[in-house]
Amino acid sequence: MNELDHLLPEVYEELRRLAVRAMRDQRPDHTLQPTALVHEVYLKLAGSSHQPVDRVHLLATAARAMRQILVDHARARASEKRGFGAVKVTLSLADTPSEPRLLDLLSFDEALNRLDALDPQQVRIVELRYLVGLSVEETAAALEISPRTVKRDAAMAKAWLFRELGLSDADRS
Amino acid sequence: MPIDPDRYGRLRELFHGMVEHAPSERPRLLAELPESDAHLVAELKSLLDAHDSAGEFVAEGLAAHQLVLGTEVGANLVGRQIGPYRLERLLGRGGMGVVYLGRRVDESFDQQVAVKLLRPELASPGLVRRFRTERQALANLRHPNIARLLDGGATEDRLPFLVMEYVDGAPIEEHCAARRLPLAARLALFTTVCSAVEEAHRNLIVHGDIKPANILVEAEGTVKLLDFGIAKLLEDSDEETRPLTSSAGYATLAFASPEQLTGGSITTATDVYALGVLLYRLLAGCHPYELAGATQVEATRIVCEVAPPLPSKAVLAAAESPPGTPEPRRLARALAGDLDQIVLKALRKEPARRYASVADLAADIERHLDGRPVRARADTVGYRLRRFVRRHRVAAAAATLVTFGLVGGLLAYAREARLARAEAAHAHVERAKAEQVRAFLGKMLSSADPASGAGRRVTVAEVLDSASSRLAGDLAGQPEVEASLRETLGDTYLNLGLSREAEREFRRALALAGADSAAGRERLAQALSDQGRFTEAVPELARVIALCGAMAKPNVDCVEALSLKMEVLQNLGRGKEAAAVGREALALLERSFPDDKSQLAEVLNNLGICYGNQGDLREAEAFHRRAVSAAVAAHGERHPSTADVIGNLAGVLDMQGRYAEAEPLYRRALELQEAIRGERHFAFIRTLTSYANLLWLMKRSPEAEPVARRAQALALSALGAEHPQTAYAENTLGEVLLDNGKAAEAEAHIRAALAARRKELPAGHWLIASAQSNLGAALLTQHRFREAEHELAESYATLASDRGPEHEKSLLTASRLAKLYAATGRPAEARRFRDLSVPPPSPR
Repeated sequence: MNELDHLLPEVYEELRRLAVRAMRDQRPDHTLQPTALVHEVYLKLAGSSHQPVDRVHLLATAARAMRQILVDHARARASEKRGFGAVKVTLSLADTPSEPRLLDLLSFDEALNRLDALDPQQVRIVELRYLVGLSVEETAAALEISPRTVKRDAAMAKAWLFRELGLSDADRS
Repeated sequence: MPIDPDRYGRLRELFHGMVEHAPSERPRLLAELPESDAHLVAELKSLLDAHDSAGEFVAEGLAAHQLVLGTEVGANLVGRQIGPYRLERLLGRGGMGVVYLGRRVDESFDQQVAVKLLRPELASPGLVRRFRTERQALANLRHPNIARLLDGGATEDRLPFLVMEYVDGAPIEEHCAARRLPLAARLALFTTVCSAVEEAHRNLIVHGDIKPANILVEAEGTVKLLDFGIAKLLEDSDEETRPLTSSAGYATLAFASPEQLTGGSITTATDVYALGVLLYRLLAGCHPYELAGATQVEATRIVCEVAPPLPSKAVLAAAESPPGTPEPRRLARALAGDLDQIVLKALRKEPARRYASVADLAADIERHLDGRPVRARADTVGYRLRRFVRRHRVAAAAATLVTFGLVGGLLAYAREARLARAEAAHAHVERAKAEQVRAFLGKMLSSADPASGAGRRVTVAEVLDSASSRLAGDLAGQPEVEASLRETLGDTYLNLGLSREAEREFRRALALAGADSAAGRERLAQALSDQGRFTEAVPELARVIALCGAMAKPNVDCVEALSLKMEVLQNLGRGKEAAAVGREALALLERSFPDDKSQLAEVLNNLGICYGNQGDLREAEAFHRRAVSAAVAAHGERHPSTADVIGNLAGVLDMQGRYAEAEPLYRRALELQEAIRGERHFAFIRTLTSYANLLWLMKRSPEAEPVARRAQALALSALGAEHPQTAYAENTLGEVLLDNGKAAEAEAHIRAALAARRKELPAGHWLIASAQSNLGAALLTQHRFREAEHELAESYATLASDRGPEHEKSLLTASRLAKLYAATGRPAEARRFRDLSVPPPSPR
């Protein structure tokens, strides 16, 4: 068990606490915007921790926590009876034939786990780039690799996930 | 073969080596791989293919989740208070965020509003700040068919929000379907939408996100447009990177124009396009493009490259027509022709080839409803002819006024308004007459349709000519109908710039009508004036004024006739009489139509130009100042007329040497003209040139250079090399370059100006001499003394005799001659001209 796994429950709880509080409509703007959340958690932990906390590890931890939250949320929604809270979309997405497909979060998470077994670094890159919202350069600095590698690994991870999730043309036809 | 970390690692090496190469190079690179494992190569190929279509699917997919989560949280905001509004009920959610029904709590009156909470990631300080500055413009947008934006800002926890008038209605397409609206009703509804969009454009606000969901129709049939200017506001706030959302364009992909999809500039033409998509859907019941399931990249390609099928063809392909419209085959027949062409013209890929304004689009639909020929078809048949004519008409109109750099953009504008009024009057011809006219024109147009013709292309002018010659025979014994038809033909000729033919029709119409009509005679005068036959126009106008005077009530036609007479006299160089007529128009207007501020602004502006041309700059300034207030009162500041009168005021201050006062006014006029008319419009180019000239006069030539270069380039491409305005721009650029020590380049531009002026103006005109003086200076700087002396001496002779030896150009030319003679060792002549170059010590 590494340091990340030690921290994970703590971060997750903190994230969840914030999310729950927000759901009770205390501070709605803080809710589910991963970047803001993760930074806030980071500040909290960095301020209270007895030992110096490595920002890199924290971000990675938070990213995985966010993944967990999104997945939990998706599960909860999947088990909900249809119809509840189904407000008709009348504003902007209505009648748009090409609205972006929602990612199937559960499949996405499983695919990420499979990729983790093949190339953990690519998964870290996906998490930092897309869940935490770091730039290529920031991701490179966090993982101590070159930006070029970040780009190429991110491209490969995306391609692999895309195919794995059955989104490529060959799969659709 | 199941993949393991080692194989994946090998695959990663190969992928890294390939991914940065263009897809076209891949087959070669793949063939060259030393890899013997065929499975691995196949795997690599498949991954590269997936890479090509994956795009940013992770970022976008996650962003969408965030949105869903965010809105679920938002659902709990019912009961909360935002600003003075309590949220009562969730109305909907979408790409931008959530919308609640809100109610004002701090006022005695009961006001329901729609409160839009925007996505938190839009809460950049930049957006909130820009929103504050734009709010006034948006809040001032008052139109019965626009849902007003009432308020907005950010909550204390930085959640941006907008408060809008609450509209309880159905999206326009649902409304049409539910009420089973027939074609004509759909078109009428659509023109109402156009009038709302037009109003916004008049206020320099582009919607940028027109689509059925943003156009609601209330139960009793009132159309309301939502979200005016907001789309653009949000898009422009996008300076910061938003890695998780590239979605501003998403919600509206289906209605986005090519320029929106490719990152081009968003203008009023963008709204024209979106209206075209809407019209297509209302008429044909389907979307112009097959976009279902397309990625953004695919959709962009389709929208930018694929020509949409004609609505009439799309209807035939569809199984059923929209509810309330006839069955597909009959509907297709109704759409074929006019409506097909109108829709296609709005949907052109290049913004410049669409309708120039929403008003033009609406006007064409009204023409169709009236059975008159539509412009969209003229565009296909007589396109070249019209362009040719228009170019020459502008040139002709501008030639007389450009002399002072103070050209009446408003005059041209007034003419358009007059034509519009004439057309409106036409629309009210009694029903029976209109029916016959309609039938006749319908016959004419179908014979001119290239598709039904004998394969030869027919010009609009030919159609009109043939109509004109057939009229007498077809309508024998119905002089009234024939007269009204001939007036219509005359108007059309006039619009095409064929004023000689227009004159012929107006004369015949007057002869047929029996009684003398003021309106008919005024049109005749206009046709004569357009041909430059000003002397003949004067008595016609006198007749119009007499006819109007004989009427019981003061008539607005009379003001127009006086206004035209002023223009005509001005063109005849009879400035004093023109001023007197202008004052008469002003008096009549103030006495009988005190509320017609728009007409007042026009008359005051023309009076200002008139006095300016006579050199009475103080008086001119007073008129221009009054014109500005009248224009602001009539139209607000953000209107083409207002922009033009501000530019004219700047010009008259400039001519008095009050440069510091003129400068901010020029800047303001430029800002307005560019935004509302575009950079290729004559009025903008004219003001830009005057502004460059002002900077030059203020000895700020380095600053003037880029301005002058832009003015010259725009004049050349938009107006052509022979236009007088282009000559002015060339000359100004030459002067600026001369100051900046670029004599050789200056010479080329000054020569261009000189050539154009020699062609346009009578020999010996002082403007030719002025350009010659500049040419002399350019030659002098290059030490080409003999040529310089020739130009400068000739120039000085003309300037001193025509403008007087104390005119600034004479003084300037004398100082140039002094320099020349000093440099060539002729001290006596140098001294003589140095003395002539000193202004006399008189007070200004």
